[in-house]
Amino acid sequence: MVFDNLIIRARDVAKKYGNEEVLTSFNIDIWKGGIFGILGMSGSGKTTALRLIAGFDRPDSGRIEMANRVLVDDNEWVAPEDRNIGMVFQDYALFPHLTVEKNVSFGLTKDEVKNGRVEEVLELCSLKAYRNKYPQEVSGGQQQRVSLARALAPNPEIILLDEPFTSLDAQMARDLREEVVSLLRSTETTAVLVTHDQEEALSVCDIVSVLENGKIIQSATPQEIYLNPVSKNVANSVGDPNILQGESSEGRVRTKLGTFVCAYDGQLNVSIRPECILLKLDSKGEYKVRDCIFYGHDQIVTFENKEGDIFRSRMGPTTIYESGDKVDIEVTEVTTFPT
Amino acid sequence: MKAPKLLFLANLIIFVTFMSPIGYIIWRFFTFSRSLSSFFESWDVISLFINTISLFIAVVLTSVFIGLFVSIVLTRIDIKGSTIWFTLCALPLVIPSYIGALTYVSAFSPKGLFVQLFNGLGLTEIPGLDGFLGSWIVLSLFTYPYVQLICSSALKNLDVSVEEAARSLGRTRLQVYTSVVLPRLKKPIIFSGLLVGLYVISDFGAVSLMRYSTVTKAIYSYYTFKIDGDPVIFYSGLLMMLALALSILQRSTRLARSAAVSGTPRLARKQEVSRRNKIIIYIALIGLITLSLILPISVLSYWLIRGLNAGNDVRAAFGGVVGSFAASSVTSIAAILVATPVVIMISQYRSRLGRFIERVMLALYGLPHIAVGVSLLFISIKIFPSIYQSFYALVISYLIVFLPQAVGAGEASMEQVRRSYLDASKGLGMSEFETFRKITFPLIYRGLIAGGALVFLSTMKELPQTLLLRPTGLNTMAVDIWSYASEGMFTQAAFSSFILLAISAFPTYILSTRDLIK
Repeated sequence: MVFDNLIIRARDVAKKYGNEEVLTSFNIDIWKGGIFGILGMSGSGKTTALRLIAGFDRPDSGRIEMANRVLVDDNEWVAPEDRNIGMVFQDYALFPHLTVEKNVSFGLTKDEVKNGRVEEVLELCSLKAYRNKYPQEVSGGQQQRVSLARALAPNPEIILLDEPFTSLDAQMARDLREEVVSLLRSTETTAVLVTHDQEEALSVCDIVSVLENGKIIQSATPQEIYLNPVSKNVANSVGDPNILQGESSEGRVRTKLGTFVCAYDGQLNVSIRPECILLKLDSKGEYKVRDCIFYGHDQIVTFENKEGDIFRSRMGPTTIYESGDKVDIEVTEVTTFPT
Repeated sequence: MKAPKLLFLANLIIFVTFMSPIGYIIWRFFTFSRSLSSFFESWDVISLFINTISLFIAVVLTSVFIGLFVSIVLTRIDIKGSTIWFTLCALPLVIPSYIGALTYVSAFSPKGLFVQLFNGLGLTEIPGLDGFLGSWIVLSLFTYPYVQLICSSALKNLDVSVEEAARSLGRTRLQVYTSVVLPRLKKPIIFSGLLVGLYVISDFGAVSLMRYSTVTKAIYSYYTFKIDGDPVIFYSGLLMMLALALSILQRSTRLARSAAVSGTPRLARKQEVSRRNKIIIYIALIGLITLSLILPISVLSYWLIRGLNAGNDVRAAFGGVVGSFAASSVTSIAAILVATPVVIMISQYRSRLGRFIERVMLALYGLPHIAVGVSLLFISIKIFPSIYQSFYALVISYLIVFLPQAVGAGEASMEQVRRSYLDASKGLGMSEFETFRKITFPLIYRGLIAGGALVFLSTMKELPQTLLLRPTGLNTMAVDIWSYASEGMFTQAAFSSFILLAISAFPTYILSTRDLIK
């Protein structure tokens, strides 16, 4: 995908609540037509970032621009109602005193209503049957649709989604996620999705930005983030890798799981994802299985070396591993980054 | 589970007694020797009703306006010391309307305090504050805290992300209030407005001191001066129906949690406003507190100090203190005793009769005291002459109006008695009575005591029923304050007012804010 049109640019944005520094130096670029993910643990500041972009809070310092217009910096301030940014709230924030239809038409002008925009959006989000119901009377999934329809109706430049699927059960979340993504793609809506769910971020977004300690520490495509994390923290936030210490010299790094090719010298962190360690049952093997958790599509096998260090491997479901089994390993891929 | 016969019988008796004043009035209402329409022939009836209704409308609108202003400003705008402001604004709640009226009457009489204060500026006489205007001002100033408390707690429960959603859809900060906040406050506003309305139509103390002819004042003057039974019954009946209609209307606006569709509501962060607006808000708040709190207290203090300096004898007031304590203690203990069988019926037996009695009591909460007093008076004269002018008749009359408080206060504790506890107890071999002693009672007795305390305070402040039914020789502080004030003896009135406020203000504030905020 080629991005050629910048919509949101945030530079050096900082925000404190009381004494707590939530964002320290937040930078992000959002390009037209893409779905962007901000991935972070709870408390990492991702919701704050959205609220600053939407204009519900004002940053302490820094600048946010939208399509070459300054939204906020030390001198400028554009009120949220003048930004044309749609927001889908984590708890939906539907107006309880208005019907589904009135919720959807809330942000529209009289002319837009007259031109049939409400019908269009209700149709698009498959909500026609519920138009006269109140939000409390429809299911969680429908409430989510209403919330999205309401945000889409005024044709915003961009839609911000704050953990939109966390209030739903897992199956519903997956179905709705696919539906929402295809809706955003078909309407070519630019979107920023904030989530703590790595699977969600990696599967949905064009670009994922990992937020930690008030900063974006890496912004890249899902593959890039997953395969080449720039730090231990990024690696930890996508997948659950084995992180080993290694000493590298002459193009080789030595670790407790073997020696691998490496371009850098010195002390390094070596990250090996569980699925990159293949186990083979072998009575003369160097490693011993501690236990195994079976998930169906795969299983996580915990094993140890002679010194008692513990590692994890993700294997297919067909082989049975039991505590005490001897195994040999084969490592297919490693990533290194500075300590 | 079937309730024991004795308990059932007790509930039945309580219910019949509770309903008797309404029953009696209705029976008399439709069995007048003259036709009902003959009452409407005199212009009196219509003008009295116009007076009551216009006061109702004026006070409700003013209270809602002030109460909403205070609650929005203090919950949504960044004001220094908002908790202190909130308490100060809510405090007038503890001042009974007759004390409020007495301070305003004495301060703004033609040659009263206000004139004396500005004598140096050449002010010699003012028209005097009474009638509609006086009643309107006094009742509004002492009832807006109901609106403030109910609407503030509703405002705090509103999920603020809904307001943010409205802003991201193009509404300005002010438009958010008209399009999202006020529509969602509709129920609390109507609920608290009707509460104020009930208070206004039942009020006797303020309108009588302000010499404003409303239905309540007419009932009392027909009874004392003209000693004509028919109009007294007629007006009481009409007043009761009006109150019933209001109270049913109020019950039907349930204060449902309409706030969050899902999840917990996020609290609003307080908004910054410009310096100029802040100053306007401070001036408004100071003005309000001056009128509703500082002025009454200062006027009372003035009268008290002046009277004491002039050597006025205030010892006579102690009779009222003793009388109030006697009446209140007996009534509150009786209320606990009478409420207990009802509460047991509801909590331990999930009985339909119990629930029905509870619901009827809550629906009838707010029966005008003066109408209940009149009814009890006639019942005692015509049916049970032995209790006429006795302490019993007075206490029964108190119980009828205050029992809902005692039962209602037990409500929360009743909900703690879960059916599974009772079943578990029986499963472990306990009898009905042992289950009551070991499970039900320990869970409900605190609620009952709290209810008793509430009844104690309410009885102490009660005026019209006491005036109608008190046995000869029994004075209460409320009666003293009212009669001294009617005769212009403000020193004595101020002394009793101070004692009454000193005893009741703090607990009244705690109990009523807790109830209204819940």
